[in-house]
Amino acid sequence: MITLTSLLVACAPAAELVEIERRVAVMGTNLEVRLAAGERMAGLRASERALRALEETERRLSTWLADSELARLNAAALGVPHALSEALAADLGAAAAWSRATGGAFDPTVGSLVAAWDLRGPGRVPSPAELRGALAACGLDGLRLDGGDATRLREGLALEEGGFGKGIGLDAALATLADCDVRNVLLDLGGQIALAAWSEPVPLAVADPRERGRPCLELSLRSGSVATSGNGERGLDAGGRPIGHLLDPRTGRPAPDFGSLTVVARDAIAADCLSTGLFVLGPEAALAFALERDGIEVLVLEPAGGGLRARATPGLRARLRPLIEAVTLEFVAAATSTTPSPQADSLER
Amino acid sequence: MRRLLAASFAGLLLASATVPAAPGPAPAMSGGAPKVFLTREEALELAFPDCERKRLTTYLTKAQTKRVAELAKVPFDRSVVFAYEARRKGELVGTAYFDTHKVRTHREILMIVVGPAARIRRIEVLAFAEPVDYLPRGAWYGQFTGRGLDDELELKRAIKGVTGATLTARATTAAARRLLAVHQVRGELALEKKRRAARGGAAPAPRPRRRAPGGEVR
Repeated sequence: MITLTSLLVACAPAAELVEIERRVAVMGTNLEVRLAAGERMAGLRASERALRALEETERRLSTWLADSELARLNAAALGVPHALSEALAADLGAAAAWSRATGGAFDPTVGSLVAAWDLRGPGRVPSPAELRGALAACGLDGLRLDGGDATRLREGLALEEGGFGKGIGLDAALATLADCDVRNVLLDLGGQIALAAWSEPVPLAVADPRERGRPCLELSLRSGSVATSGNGERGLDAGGRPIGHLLDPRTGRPAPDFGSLTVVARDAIAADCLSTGLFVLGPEAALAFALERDGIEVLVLEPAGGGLRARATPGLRARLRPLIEAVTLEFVAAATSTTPSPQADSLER
Repeated sequence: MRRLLAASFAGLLLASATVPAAPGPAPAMSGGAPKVFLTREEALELAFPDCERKRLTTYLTKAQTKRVAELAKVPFDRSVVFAYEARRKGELVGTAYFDTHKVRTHREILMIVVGPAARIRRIEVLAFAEPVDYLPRGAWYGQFTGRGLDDELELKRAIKGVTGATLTARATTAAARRLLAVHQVRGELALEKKRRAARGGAAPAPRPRRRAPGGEVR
């Protein structure tokens, strides 16, 4: 995940609003919360509600925690229905839906591949036999979801929340804030951003995939979620050989690196799953995918010559602005789309 | 402004952190004003809602101070430390510590909440006087949650460095080690006190109260 940065310190809240800003660790990453409220303590309590929603998601989904609900499912006996909480059943249902939509390019069952490549450690290149075994364990056909039950059907099948957990957490956090009297909400969870209740567009910086500390484009949004994937963020190194952390569940190998891919969606779960899945599919297929669907916009950044080629779906036309001269920005034609590409406002919740 | 900020730190963040709204979009987050995100009281209230909180003062002997430094493997020379224990219905929920440390030339205040199993449950930046560019972004702070005091809690081991915020990464990792070491030594002292009580021995005479020196674990 490549970090998106809010370019904003404060964006014109009404004079009587108090701005809250917090930096706290949750879900194994950094959370930056910004919001505005009529009174400071009310705003702080609202920010804490959002944080607690993320902590609850972490307790449910984090496979880094041996006693999380998802970790317990991963350890459940084969062929025996395992009762899920309503929340986990919904989480897995949503992740499975995006997996199907991407033809398996996003797959929540890549735990065995993550282990084979040691993506949670320093990284390693698995032997061909290890890779075959890990690949054979993957796939949603190894998991039967049946209402409130899940049944593991394949030895070694391991669900991995890395591609969807942040999105679910951000959606939960925004849902809990919906009951609070707050405005100008910006949640930045390790680079994935979710926005709500802004009256003016918020400028966000999209990082240059060649040098992730450098913003290259400004993306303005009032609501929805933005997630960016690229292999530049986590430099894993297996014995001197750099390996990408975005795995193609269809081959078991790191997806070819082309730069970065940013997804803008109404929901954080969609942005999270698709930023991974569409990166795996590659630039052309990713743009085509977004053109065919309402509420999904894609920005592809590819180094080209000494510059940067930026291609985006038409719904981002009024929302993108180059920040450096080296960017060539173009919008792909919507002519091939079966469903008209959403207009800018269709992204708003 | 700098003096005002220093006063705010010296005053243990008693001042409200309310920042007046800027008219219109502000420039990108590079450099700029020092940030005070939360006061100490606010941080405790948010971390431990509906809990009974108690500030506990521990006076350390020279040997105990040395033990903290040895466990932490970072410099430590305090003779007084403060811990904020939170209990719900008598059950320990967590213990918060605050650490004030210099990053480059200015200070950062962190709150670290240690859970009953002596692992970091929450790490939150309360104030940061360096340019915000020096605050690690992405997943960096998340590396600390769930960690206890062991050899892996080090940069280049379980804690990966961060480009552009190396000094903050070093200072934060040292603070985490220091506070977990303080927590461990406090636990050892409590255990020793219990053992002594079980043996019927008298508690040692309390050390004369000394004014807490500034900085570090407060």
